[in-house]
Amino acid sequence: MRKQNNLICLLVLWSLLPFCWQIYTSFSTPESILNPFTYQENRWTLQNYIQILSANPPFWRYLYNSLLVGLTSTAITILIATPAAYSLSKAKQHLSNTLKLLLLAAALFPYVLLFLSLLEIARAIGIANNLFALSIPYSALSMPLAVLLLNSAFSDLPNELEEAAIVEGLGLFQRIRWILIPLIAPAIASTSIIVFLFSWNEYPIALTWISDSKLITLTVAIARIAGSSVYSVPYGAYAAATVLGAIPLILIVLLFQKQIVSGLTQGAIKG
Amino acid sequence: MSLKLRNISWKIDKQWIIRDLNIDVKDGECLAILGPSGCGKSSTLRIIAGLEKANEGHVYIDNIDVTNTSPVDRKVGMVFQSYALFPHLSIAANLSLGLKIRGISRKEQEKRVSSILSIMQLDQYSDRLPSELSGGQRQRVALARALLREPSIYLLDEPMSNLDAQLREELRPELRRLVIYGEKPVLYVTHDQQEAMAMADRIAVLKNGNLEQIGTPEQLYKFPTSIFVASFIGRPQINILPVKKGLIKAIRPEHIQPKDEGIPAKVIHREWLGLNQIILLESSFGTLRMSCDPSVEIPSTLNIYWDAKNEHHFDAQTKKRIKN
Repeated sequence: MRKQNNLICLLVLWSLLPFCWQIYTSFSTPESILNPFTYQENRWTLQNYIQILSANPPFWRYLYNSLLVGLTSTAITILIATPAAYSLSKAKQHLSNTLKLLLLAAALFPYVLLFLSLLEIARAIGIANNLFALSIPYSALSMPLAVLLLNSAFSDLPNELEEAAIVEGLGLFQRIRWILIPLIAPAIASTSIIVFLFSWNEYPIALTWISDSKLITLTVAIARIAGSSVYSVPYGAYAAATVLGAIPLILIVLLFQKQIVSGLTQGAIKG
Repeated sequence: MSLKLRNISWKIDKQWIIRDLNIDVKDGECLAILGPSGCGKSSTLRIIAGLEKANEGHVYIDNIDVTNTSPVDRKVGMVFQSYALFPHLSIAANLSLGLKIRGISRKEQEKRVSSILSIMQLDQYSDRLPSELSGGQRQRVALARALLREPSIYLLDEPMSNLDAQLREELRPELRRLVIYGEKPVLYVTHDQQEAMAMADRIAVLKNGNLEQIGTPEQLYKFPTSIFVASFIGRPQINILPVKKGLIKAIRPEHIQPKDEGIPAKVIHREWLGLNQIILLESSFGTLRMSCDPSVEIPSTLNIYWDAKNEHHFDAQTKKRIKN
């Protein structure tokens, strides 16, 4: 038992230390960043935050952009993936296995290889520099994984439940509304978060599709801060930006942690 | 005649599950479909409900051909083996969902749900989730849901198989009462011959998708038309005697009696059950089961006898009954 606890502590340190270091850095003056172990008079500062929040455009603007793209991509993905996953769970065994294999291949495909051709397409149809247009590739890229996750949630539901609803006189859409969606809600929540996370963290497509500095997303903005000066790396401001960028994610995970866990482990234990 | 099955056949891939099945059930009549697992009894129920579509034949409910009617519109009340209560809804919500879908006013919904809950003695559980109820309570909720559907026919798929033996016996008269209260045809699928005999007005015995025999429990017990029915109905099981000149004789355990002069036999096992005692005997006819009064003293070797008029005769080739 004690051994396990030690191991868990080690794992927690392993994953949290970099983030703690980031927070520490974001509140430090440039001098104290360079000499972290020597005593300094005014080692703590809010200057880094003030700097990025008073820039033009202010930093919250990028948070807002990322949030917008994240929410629309998640909404589009879930709206399309849920019915797709349902019909996949109703398909004949042979067909559904083939389709799932194809989806898995698509989910595992390194999307970075696609971004040049995606850029060409965006240029050709004139949707570059459009924030909402970003959700098209984002939802398309998340779709295979989302369909697979939701499909496994649908497949785990006992068949008799839906049949009971059928003999009760519930039509297809009534069954989806009253029985199926509520029962796979945890899976929908965890899938949404995975999709949202992808969109929040995505860099190459966001970098190439958007050039207007008012429309860039968080990842691109952070990269711009890091590369803003030729002579130095503004570690403090960079750290402050990453901390601010992480806060919405932490809030979401804290808010939905019950659903995420039960969604990810759904089907592991039969109730 | 409120339910008619006419020449129903159904197959999975190339395997026939049900072959040319014809069954009639009247209003208020309870028909048990009895058979070993894989005989097609649950499939029959699913075809009537419309959850499966028969390859051949027709289903008539209230003399209307519903063969091509969607299960959503068939108006059957079904109780599933697993009860299939909606796990995310309270008991009251489970019961009112169907009413709501059918556009019944909220006030009327509440009235009907609370009245059925009190009939089922479930009043205090209306706000609980199905997972917070015991097996017997869940079964009653499932039955209540079927009753609220106001169906033209009730289909019960092994409704008691998830309950322990004692609860099963307690619930039998209750289920029977509620089913009759519905005044509709009831189909009751079970693999338990005792339950079938206790619940049903008539029993249909199925074997490999074919109807072996249909009749009252008494008819099936006294005049089984095949060896299969004879050995399926009645516990302890009927004694099948060795083949002689193309004839198979069978004799029920309670018809074998100890007698001073008769067939010599040796006791190899005995079960004293209070109501009767079951003696396993070794004789020239092979192993025989005898059931007799518990007060009778049985020595370890004895002579046995049975009246020839109690014998059942079957053709050794066709395994069918021969008039005797």
